[in-house]
Amino acid sequence: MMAFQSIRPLFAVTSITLSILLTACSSSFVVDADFPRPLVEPIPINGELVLTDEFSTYVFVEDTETRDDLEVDISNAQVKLFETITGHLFSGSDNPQNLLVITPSLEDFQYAVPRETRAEIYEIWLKYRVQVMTKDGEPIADWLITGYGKTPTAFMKSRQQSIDLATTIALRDVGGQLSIGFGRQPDIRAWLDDREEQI
Amino acid sequence: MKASIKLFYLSILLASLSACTTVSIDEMRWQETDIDLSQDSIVILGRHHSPEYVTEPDLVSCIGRRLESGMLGLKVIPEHEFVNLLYPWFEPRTAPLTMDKFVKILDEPMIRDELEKHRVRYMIWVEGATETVNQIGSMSCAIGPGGGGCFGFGSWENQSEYEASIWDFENTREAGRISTDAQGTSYMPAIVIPIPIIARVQSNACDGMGSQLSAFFAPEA
Repeated sequence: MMAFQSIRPLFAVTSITLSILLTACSSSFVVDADFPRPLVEPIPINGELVLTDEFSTYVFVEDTETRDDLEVDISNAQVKLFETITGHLFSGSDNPQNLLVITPSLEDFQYAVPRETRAEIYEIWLKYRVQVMTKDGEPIADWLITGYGKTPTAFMKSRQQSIDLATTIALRDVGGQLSIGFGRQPDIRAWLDDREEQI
Repeated sequence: MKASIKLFYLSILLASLSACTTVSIDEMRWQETDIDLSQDSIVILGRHHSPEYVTEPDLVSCIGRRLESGMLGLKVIPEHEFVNLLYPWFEPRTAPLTMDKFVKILDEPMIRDELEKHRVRYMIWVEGATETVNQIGSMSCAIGPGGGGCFGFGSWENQSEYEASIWDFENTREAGRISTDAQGTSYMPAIVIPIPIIARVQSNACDGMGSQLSAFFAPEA
């Protein structure tokens, strides 16, 4: 009995060390971020956001043999981002023809960790395709937006926390480009100018 | 009992060990500052545009705390609160890098209104990072059924280089610049237990920058 009690603390330490070592090589987490309303002049038309099932449930899975396992669920965060931005981007119009339908899709998710780049930063790239159509389904714009986020390595900050934060920064970058650039995107601008002339 | 007291004092002694840091500060002033301490606020932002490094958010908030608790008790809007209020105009991609670009974004009435609403009088951009520039030594640790321990010696040198650029929002001019360089070497001897003797380089750079910025905003006697 005495012998077992003296081994118990050692057993606990070994178990904790082993569990840390086992979890160090894989991470799976959900990006949970909130996004502020964009401070931009709303465009006087109606906007409708269409989110596909694929978009609303997207999870990035890294399963190549040369890299550590990684699962990043950004579905909720990217839905929140596009809902927040498009919710403040349009001020509405009485004319039902003044409606743009926006359908985003995530084309690519890439990341780099300090071990690969030798820089003490975690980096994330997100490439979105934003398809903009009229109410009748006529394509107006097919717009690619690439968001980038990076976070420094820090003492007591895990790989998971760093990738989570870098992903949030990349999403904010996408939101920034969408909110500032929507009215300036050449195809959308041409359509808006055309609508203004008709009014 | 006596042994546990000795162990307690020994652990306090070990925890309080810290290596030396050298800090040097330079200041350039182009105009006098004029701040209404009862109403005006300032904001401190980190630069995030460099591909090689990121100005640490911890350092930015540390300088903010120093200014709030300093001799003037300046009102500081936290970085995350400010960038959220003005989203997306102060994101890494969109933040103005020069005063000319800042003046240009002030043409957006919504941005100017927001800055005036929060009475932002000065904006301080902090650029730079703390890096480990030199590392020597080695240490090995082992654990077995009879116990464990580490043996060896390691040392590393950290270097901080930060520059704060102070922008006057009301006059849309740069009021001055303060640069801080700090360096220090940390040691970690290990005879069974590793004993870290850490040089608090970033923390000392923050103290130096915070004190100098407080003095920068202090009215002339």
